[in-house]
Amino acid sequence: MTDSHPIKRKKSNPNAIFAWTLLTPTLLLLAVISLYPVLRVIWLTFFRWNYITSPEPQAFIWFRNWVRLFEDEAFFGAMRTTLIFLGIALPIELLLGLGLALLLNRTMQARGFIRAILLLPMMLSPVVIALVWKMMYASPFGPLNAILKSMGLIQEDVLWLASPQLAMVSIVIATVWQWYPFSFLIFTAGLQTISAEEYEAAAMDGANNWAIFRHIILPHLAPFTLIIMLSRIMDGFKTFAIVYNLTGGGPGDATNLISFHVYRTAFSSFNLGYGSTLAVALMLVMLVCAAAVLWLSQRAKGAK
Amino acid sequence: MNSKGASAFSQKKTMATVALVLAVLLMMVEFLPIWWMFVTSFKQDGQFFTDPPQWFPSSITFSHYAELFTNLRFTEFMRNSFVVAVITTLGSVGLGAFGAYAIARLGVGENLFMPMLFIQRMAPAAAIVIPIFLMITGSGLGDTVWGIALAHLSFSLPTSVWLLVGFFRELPVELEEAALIDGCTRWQALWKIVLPLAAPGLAAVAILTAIGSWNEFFFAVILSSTPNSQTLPVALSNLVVPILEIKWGAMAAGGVLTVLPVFIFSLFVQKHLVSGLTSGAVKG
Repeated sequence: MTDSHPIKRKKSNPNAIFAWTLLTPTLLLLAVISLYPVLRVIWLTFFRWNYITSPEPQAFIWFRNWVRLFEDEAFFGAMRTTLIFLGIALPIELLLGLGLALLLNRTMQARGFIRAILLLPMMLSPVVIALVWKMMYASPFGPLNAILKSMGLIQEDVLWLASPQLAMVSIVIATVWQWYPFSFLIFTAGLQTISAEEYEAAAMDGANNWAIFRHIILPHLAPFTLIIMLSRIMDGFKTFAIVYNLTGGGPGDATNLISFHVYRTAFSSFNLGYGSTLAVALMLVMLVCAAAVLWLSQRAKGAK
Repeated sequence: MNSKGASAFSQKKTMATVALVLAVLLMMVEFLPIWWMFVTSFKQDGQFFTDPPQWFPSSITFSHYAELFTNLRFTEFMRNSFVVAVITTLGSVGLGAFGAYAIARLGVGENLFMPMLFIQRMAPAAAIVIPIFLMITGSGLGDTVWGIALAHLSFSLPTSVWLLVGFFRELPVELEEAALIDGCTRWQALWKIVLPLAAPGLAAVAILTAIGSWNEFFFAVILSSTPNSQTLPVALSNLVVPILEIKWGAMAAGGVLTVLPVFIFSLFVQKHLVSGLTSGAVKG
């Protein structure tokens, strides 16, 4: 066994030199551009450093940046705004994606073409998303207002980006428009794991559509829902280009999402020490969120 | 066919028609904003916002595209975007394939690599952008396409390795063993047997990487400052958030130029794209 399977033999690996030759360039590059930045950003949180006045850190100030963080209204405000943004956008994305996946989960004329068009926004740069919606939201005579007026939903032109609540609605609409196809894609993969036999068996037992949905489709889709949530929560914390190009975080701080806030602290005011502290705090929050979602999925598995 | 069967059949047919109509409607909603950008790029000044809106322009002009390539230097931005995407894709698929093969088949480096990958996935761009910025400007790569491509590798290389480990594990091991027994060296087995077999997986990863790099904005806007390295998304952003007034026509035309390559590309490679996106999410 061991001699006839040289590839599977792991201990005292005769291919070690070959393997490490293959792996080393990748590991080295990753160490430089992926691992080192994480270590350095943690180290930088202990410094006071205004990059405009000095190309080097100015003073080692121990934990003063961290103390400041806990009193920083703007940071917690940006976190809260991000959670509100996610709390509105994510459920809509999940529902739309699920509905569409169920709708298209049948043989249909031109299904491939329809799917290609539906997935198109996911392929676009977030800057293009912002550009497209900047035109849609334009006022007066913008296309979105014109459509809503012709449907009788509004009488007057709406200034989409001018009020705090509507600005949030505006970035949610743009985000949902781009990303609900992702839920659709993953739910479609989930639906394909259900065999025809399971549907047939349920139909034989006289189950109606709702019962089939409740007892067969939903349990199968649960792990896929978690995948979507995990991925989109992480994306939510990273949302930057839409805010930068559509609202600039405003009006006021209404759409000041956390990644944009970190960017502004680090690269508008060039406060690198405190900017690093915000960055590490963001990383920790994401870690906690990911752990929470994974823990929930483990618990759900255990309950089955 | 009895009457019960016939009515069930026609009911099923009605359902299918309803589903098709709904799907086409959704498709139109999804496509409408993109269509608006497309027609705006051909509208003459003064026709951008009218009452009622012109979903089909009454007359068209190519002046906005002409302006992009003359005054607004879009030839340079397109070149930069292309070069950055090519370097990033070659780097992340080339290095990624070797690294992933070593991990998947030869069983080394997993303990080293997986924690790195975990850190990378938890570290959003905003979290590591300060050290990346210091490193790239400090090494003289500030405002160059190489600097931006390196920053793009920081997230695309780990993702590529992760996906490719999955692809390599699914390949049958017997062919490689047969090649080794027949006297191939490990290099030959890798080049002649494994990589051709893994071609669909490599293609899917390459496509995702190329599109991701072409579209990327965050690192690009921070690491570039002149048309020497500014990519299309950065140039577009300068039109979307202008210092003075918005030039709607030029902005829309720039959007079309950014989208068109991705659109054409993704229609051609739809199958790879869907499998790449799905496995990327499900395995990741």
